[in-house]
Amino acid sequence: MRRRQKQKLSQSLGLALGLFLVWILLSGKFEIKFLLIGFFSSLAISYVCLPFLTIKKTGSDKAFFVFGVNYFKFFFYCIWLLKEIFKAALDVTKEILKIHMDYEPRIVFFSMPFENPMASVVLANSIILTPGTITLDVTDEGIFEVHALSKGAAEDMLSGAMARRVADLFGETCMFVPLPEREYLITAKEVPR
Amino acid sequence: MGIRVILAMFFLGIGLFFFFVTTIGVFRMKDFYSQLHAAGVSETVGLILSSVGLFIYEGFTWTGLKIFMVFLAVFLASPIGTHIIAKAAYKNGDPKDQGPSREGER
Repeated sequence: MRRRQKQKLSQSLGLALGLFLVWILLSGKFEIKFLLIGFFSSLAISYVCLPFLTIKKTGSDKAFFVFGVNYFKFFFYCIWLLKEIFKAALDVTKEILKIHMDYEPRIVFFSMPFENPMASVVLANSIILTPGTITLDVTDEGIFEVHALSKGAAEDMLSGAMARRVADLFGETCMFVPLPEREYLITAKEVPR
Repeated sequence: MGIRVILAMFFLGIGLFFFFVTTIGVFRMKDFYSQLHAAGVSETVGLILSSVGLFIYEGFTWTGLKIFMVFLAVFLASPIGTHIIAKAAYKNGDPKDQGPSREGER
């Protein structure tokens, strides 16, 4: 119990520090009056907002802090993600500027259950940020439905490189399972209207 | 005109090119989901390159840091918007396309 309270205190102080930095950045003033106002308002906001920023995994009691990642690892993950984004954007640009368009959109499925709900959010957002792939849905059991623009993008998704990186970022074991048998080439008739 | 302005113009120009590609893509793609893919190019790479260009033009000042904050905000918010639009279309059974190369096989 004691440890939990200590953790909560450090989380709330870290949040207040981050908010205070944003305050300084947006005001750009260093007079004592403004700094004091900013300090106390960021303390109050972090006290009010901390319960909203701890999320629970559905079906269990474990609570996770939203910003509870290793920032050092996160920085390197961001650099890797930027590289992937540029590569994928060039691929999509090539598809768009082809004279005879021959893209083959498809929906692929893979299963990647995470203990921490934030990890699912980071993975889904990274998939959408990479041009050529869009997360359509994530179920509670951790099944991702991803719409891919081309065959190459779909294969990249099913290789699980991104999922492995996210699992490493949150310090979890990677239980990535591609579900190629569920992949279907989309026809307009298959969709019930 | 210093080297900084030329660098900024270079990045802004490439960013503009990706915005242009997005416009072409949205018009050329046939179904809704592929158009979303085309839109994704501008809201990631176009945004990154444009903000890098503006950041170089402005230098390391308060305004430059605020440009960086705008970039972060859009970068966090835009995938969520794309996801919600795509999910709404998917759950409501928006018609999907097999792509131009498989048109005859259907």
